[in-house]
Amino acid sequence: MKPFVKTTALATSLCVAALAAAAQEYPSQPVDYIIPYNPGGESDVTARFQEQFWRDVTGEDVVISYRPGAGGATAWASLGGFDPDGYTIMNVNFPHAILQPSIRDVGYQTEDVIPAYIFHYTPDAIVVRADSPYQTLQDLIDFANENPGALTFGGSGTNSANHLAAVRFGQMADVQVTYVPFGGSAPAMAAVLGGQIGAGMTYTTQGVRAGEQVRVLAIATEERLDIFPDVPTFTELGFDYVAGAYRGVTVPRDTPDAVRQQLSDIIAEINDIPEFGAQMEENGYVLVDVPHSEMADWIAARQADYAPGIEILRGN
Amino acid sequence: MLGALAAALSLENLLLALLGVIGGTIIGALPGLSATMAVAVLVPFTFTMDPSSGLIVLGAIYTGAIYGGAYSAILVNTPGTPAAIATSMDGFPMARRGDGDLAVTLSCLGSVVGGTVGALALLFLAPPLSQIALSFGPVEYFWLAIFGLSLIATLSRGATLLGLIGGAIGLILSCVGSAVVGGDVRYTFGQTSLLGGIPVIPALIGLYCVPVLIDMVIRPEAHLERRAETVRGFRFREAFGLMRRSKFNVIRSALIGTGVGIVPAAGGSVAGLVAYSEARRTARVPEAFGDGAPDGVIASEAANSATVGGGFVPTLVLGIPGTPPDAIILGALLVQGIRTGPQLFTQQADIVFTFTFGLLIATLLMLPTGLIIGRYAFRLIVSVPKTALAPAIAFLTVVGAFAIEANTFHVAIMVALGIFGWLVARIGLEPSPIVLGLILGPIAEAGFVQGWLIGGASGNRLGMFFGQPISIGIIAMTAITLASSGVFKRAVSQGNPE
Amino acid sequence: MSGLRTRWRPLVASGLAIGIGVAAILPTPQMSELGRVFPMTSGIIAVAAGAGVLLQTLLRTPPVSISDTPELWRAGLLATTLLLWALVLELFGFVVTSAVALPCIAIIARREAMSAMTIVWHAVAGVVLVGGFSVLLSEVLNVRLP
Repeated sequence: MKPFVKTTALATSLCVAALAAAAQEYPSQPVDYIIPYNPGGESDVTARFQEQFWRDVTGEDVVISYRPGAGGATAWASLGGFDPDGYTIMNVNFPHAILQPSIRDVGYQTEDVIPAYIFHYTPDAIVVRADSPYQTLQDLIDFANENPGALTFGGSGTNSANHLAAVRFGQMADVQVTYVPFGGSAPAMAAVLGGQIGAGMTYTTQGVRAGEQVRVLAIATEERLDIFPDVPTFTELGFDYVAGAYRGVTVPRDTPDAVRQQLSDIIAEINDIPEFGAQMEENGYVLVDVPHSEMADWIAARQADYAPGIEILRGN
Repeated sequence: MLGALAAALSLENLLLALLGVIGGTIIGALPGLSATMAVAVLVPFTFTMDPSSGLIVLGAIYTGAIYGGAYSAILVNTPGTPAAIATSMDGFPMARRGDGDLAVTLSCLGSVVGGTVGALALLFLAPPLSQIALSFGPVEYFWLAIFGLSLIATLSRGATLLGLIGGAIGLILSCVGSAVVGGDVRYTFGQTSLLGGIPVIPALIGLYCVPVLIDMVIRPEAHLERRAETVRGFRFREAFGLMRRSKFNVIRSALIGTGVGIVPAAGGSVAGLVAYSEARRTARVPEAFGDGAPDGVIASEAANSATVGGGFVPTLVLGIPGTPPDAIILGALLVQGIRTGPQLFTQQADIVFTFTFGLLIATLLMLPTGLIIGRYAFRLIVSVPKTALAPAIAFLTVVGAFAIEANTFHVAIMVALGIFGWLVARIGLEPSPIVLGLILGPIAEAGFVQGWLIGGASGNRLGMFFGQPISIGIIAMTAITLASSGVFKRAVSQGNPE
Repeated sequence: MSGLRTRWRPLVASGLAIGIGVAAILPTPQMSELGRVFPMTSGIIAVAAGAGVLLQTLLRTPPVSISDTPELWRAGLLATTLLLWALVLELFGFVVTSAVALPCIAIIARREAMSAMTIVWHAVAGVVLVGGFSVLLSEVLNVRLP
């Protein structure tokens, strides 16, 4: 072998080794973690829970910042502008990231924000004030049946998980309800607690936060939750309905698969920490594990699931 | 409770509170660098701290940052946060005529009183007061925002129609982007970067600060008048005398601030504006407001500092945060394993009381900190020549607009609105009505649409908007404010030059 | 008639208001029923107030009087500098653009001749300012600078 070829080969192999090493060492510097909502909501709180363990798992810091606007669309539309190196990661929510682009031009497509990992969901829950006349979900349905349109559901945002849930509930129970959008889960709950709204179409987490001030009528999980031993699931009540807001961590579209996989592994590892799981469950979150390898199927399944609801929302 | 007091008074916690107040004040004084940011950055550090120490630092930073906004409002006419809008209305005219030091001292005293009242309310009355938050539904928010907008009449001092034009422009700007309520995409001209709407802080910086900057450059006279004999002291005695004479104003403003702070989503800007408007209405010489009336500064600062304590009432009792910093602190509380709710004050009372005492201590520490930092800030602004001041302020506007979300697009919006603000100032449009429209528009619109939907569901829209006691009260206050601002009188004599 | 010269300000104000108002009303038919309420109302207020100012101006002496502003060229230069700064910030980065913009603005604001010493002091202050903020933002507040 000629020396020149040798050096080239050596250099190439060194380069490859260096690249591989760089890929192995992810993350080798602090990672920016962008929350597409205002602080204090579910996306922020779960990211803060992860933040506690991020350093133990990766040896590096994670830096949380906020880029709220347009129900998350502002941040997701900006994702493509960041370097696809895995050092800018973003929280992404479903159904939001499927609903928004299929209803309006919001500057991104679902394909642009495919997550590397889906780590939990907040199950939908119907919540009423503790002194409300509705003792059970059936009471609520009966009222809505007798007074079409008079039942108000408060929830977070338009074309959001809560909005879709209200629409799907109306379909399933065959009742006409009025969905009233608020600027977030917190103001919607304030209106429920204040009695301005009939019921909250919200998440289990809000039921936990409001504690004894509210009664949770039904939750959209597969099985009952330990934190609400007395609250039935929709399935028990005869509705085939398991849904909520799924949250994952995403990276710019062009990020190499290797980095996505590593990020996926990190989030999976945090999900496996018992302390983290306990903290999440106490607050009403349900852990799920959808890693990078299963993501394409998962997204396709979601799209099929949401399609009928989207048709109705489009018509509005 | 005494145990909590002792815990809050430990040397370590006192030091942390002092550092927090200093850091917060400095960050708050720089437009664009907000309490939200400072608090968000510190949250991870509190994970490793003792819970109460962590909370004390967060509360201290927040308190300091809300107060710090007064400096830029007074000295360069730039409210760094919406909470300080009303402060700039009289603070900057005071500074212009050479009373900047007095205004800074007054704002400090006002803040300390306001902050104390707010913290005491949180300490002793939180569970019952949280009911106020719940009695405010969409319709009440709508009327509260309209009440705030009615202040345009007061602010435009004679040129009501021009004020109205500014307000309408602000309202139109507030419609830009995708509406949270209803989901309509409005006035984005196909630009996805506008989907999130016009960002408030960059707009504030642009509309208030850039015109001041341009005027500074085109006029030969100094930015602020300098009085040789007063540059040295704090003018503490004089400020204290003014405070004593306006004790009703101080207390009323602090109570308004606490009350409005309790209502989630209203926050410091509305509190400051309502207190300002009330101070003007009851003043002996209402005409002095806007030309540098000390009572305007006192009212605004006492009210916006009181919202800090007030805002924690719904955050802790109901789990409903009023402002972004409250929300971040709520997140930190959840991570610490604290459960919000009325039971918090009985079951985990220690930690709440330690936190509240921390807030109280931070408020008191603001007195020396605020006076000293304020004095240096004033001296700096007065003594620096324009060739250095103008670039420095320009730099701060760019940094501030950028930093809020690390977004260069916000810088472009800030500059564009700033130049627009300067141009329209030349045809008589002031920035304040535009800003009021921009900030209050979304509150009014969300309240209106939600009220309309709920009223439609119950089949009684009229009763929804006009039939409830709190709404009627706010409508009456709006009418009184409009009447006393002299809109109707002045409409007749408008042609007369001042 | 005192002519248009003394009345141009209110006339421009009313023209601006009517223009913005109409521009705001025009796209409202494409909005949803509830989504158009506020844009419509604001647009109508703008047009009405603009018309009011127009009437007032034609019928009476103009209500606004602002002293004429000297040295408009400085305003133009400053506005241009700020605009350019905002536009190239992403491209050239924070430190470079600041290093160019700050001296430019100082020159625009300059009235008296500056001694060499003063210029040095200004430069030092500028470096401290930019450096201080770079550190504050990127190290303390975790804001990623362009």
